[in-house]
Amino acid sequence: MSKNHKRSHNSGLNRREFIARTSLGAMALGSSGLWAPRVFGAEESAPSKVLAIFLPGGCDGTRLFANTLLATGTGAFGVTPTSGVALNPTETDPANKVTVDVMFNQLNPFAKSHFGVVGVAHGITAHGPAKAAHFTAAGKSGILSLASAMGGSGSIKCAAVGAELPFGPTAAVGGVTVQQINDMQSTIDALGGGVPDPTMPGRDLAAAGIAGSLAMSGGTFEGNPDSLITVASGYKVAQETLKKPKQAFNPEELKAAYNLTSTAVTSMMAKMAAAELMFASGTNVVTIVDGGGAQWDTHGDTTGARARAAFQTRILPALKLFTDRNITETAAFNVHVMIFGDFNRSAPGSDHAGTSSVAVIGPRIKQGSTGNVDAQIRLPAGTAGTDGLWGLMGHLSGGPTVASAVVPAGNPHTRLVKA
Amino acid sequence: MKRLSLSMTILVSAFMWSACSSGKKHAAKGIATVNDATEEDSEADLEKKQGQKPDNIEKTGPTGALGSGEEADPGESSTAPTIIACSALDTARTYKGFGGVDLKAGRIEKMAPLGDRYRIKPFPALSTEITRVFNNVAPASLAKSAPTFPTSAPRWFVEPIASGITLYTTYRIAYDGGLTISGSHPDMRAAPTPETAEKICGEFMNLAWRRPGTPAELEHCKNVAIMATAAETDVKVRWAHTIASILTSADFIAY
Repeated sequence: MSKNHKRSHNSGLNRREFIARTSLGAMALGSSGLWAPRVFGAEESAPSKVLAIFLPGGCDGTRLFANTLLATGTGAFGVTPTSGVALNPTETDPANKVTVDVMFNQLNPFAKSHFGVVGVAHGITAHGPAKAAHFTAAGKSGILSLASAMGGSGSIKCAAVGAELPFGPTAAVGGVTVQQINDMQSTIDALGGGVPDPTMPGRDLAAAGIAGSLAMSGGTFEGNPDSLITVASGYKVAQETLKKPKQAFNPEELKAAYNLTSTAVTSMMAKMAAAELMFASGTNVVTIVDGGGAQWDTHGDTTGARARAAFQTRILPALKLFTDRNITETAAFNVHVMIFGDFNRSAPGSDHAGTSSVAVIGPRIKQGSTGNVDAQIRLPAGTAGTDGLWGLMGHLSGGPTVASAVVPAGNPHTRLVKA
Repeated sequence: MKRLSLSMTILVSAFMWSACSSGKKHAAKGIATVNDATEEDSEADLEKKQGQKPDNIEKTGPTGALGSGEEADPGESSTAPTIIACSALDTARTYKGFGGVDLKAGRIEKMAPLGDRYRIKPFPALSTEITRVFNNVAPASLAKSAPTFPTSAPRWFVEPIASGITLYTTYRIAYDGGLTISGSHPDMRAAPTPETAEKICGEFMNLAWRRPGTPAELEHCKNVAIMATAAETDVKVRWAHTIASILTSADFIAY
């Protein structure tokens, strides 16, 4: 993390102080009249957040995150002694080694030392079912179950930033639904952080007006309840958001940090910026789905060149910036980033394997792997399926209790969680 | 407005025609509640019947300045709008994409109780509808709000979804327009009374929804005008919230 980043705000506050005093601090003021500045290094006291980055088409986990093909000596997917970097070189258990593509050397030391690879033995080789499975936990939406179990006071507990929505079940879990965020400025306005504008409705009256809209819509909902389900949930979220104390955000700060020219959430940089905004507003889980499906369905990419190039250009620059700002010793939140796709690629043709190797980066990750594959892209026997992935995310986000709330069996990847 | 209504009806009819079944005869069977449509009706006949919109729909809504004296009385007619609906699902038909991908995977296969209606308007449609309601003058906040709403790629269609943010933004645009229009409407120069609230609510429901509000809907709207905004001293603000609540209702943001 750069010195400039640590002291990037005009106030002279560092990032953790800034967020605490503008968002959480505002909430604390509203409820108790007290500041609630965070204690540096107090990881346990910082709220947890999850950023799920999904690469539809088939993220190339085998060569990016679980580079154990190196050990097989097959040379598949262009994996050579110089293509990977061991993040835990002193690890003696080959199954627990984390060897990733050299491009991940760009991440900050804290992120690299909190990098895990999670095996998901889903056995699915068709795109549609695989996409849905990765967002499913115990038959429900994994992201919604997680966002609900994490609790908190945010009015938007689960957000999808950008045009692409997550896959899998859409039914609300614990009253939590996915809220799509396409523009940071209008989101800031709804949160009460916009520049004063006489054409902007007062928050209390707007909440009452939207309650009136909901009341007027009862008969309409009966006409097509499936089509209008997001309207029904949207009224609830809008009212809750407007009833919360105002939260101050500076979109210019985010635009400058992520080198953006507008607040529209279109590019990967903008999606990362929006994710950061949503976390600061109280959101628990944010999803980013990369729109370039064809980029990740890398049939015939036997050297891995296409997959590497796609990740390096489409994802890595924004991922580095986001992790530099949010996954550090002094970050305001315990953010865990997961990077996954439909499946690993099969060898040698780079087709569809029935496994996934998911990268999870965050402060509670104990460096290690349950996702290292063999030359046939198989995971160790007994590796859990998608329920296990969401159990781990629950554990990282609130301990075994949250893990069990997400999936009854809890977290099978306990070796990836710091004691 | 008549042309638009007829076009909309024909468009929906055409969609339903193809959605219900591939065969024309079968399709006619599938449409169950089109007024007095029968199996023997030709497609042209059917369109003609569907085009016979209730008079109040065509007459409603101020033209030129609001309050021109030509508004329909919301209680004048209670004729229900024409509704078409499938009576059977066509689950047998499959659609395969490149690579044999089932394009119907994940699609909801259900009968919508009131037909293929109440689908969320994409922003371009919502945008023109908002402009229409405000005498063809777009509120200043409309254009800059465009990035808030999900969009589809050119020559592609993705069913829009709503969120707390899109609904708030819709409310904000409608409030903005309401502030402007309330200043020029003779019945909105004073604080809402039960009488003026009922009149304005009815007027804007007719205009926005293209149908009269039900007594219950009118009551909810009047509550916004009289009760929810009672503490507000700026009359224009009270009316703007009242109008915004109508334009953020499901009947306006969906079609």
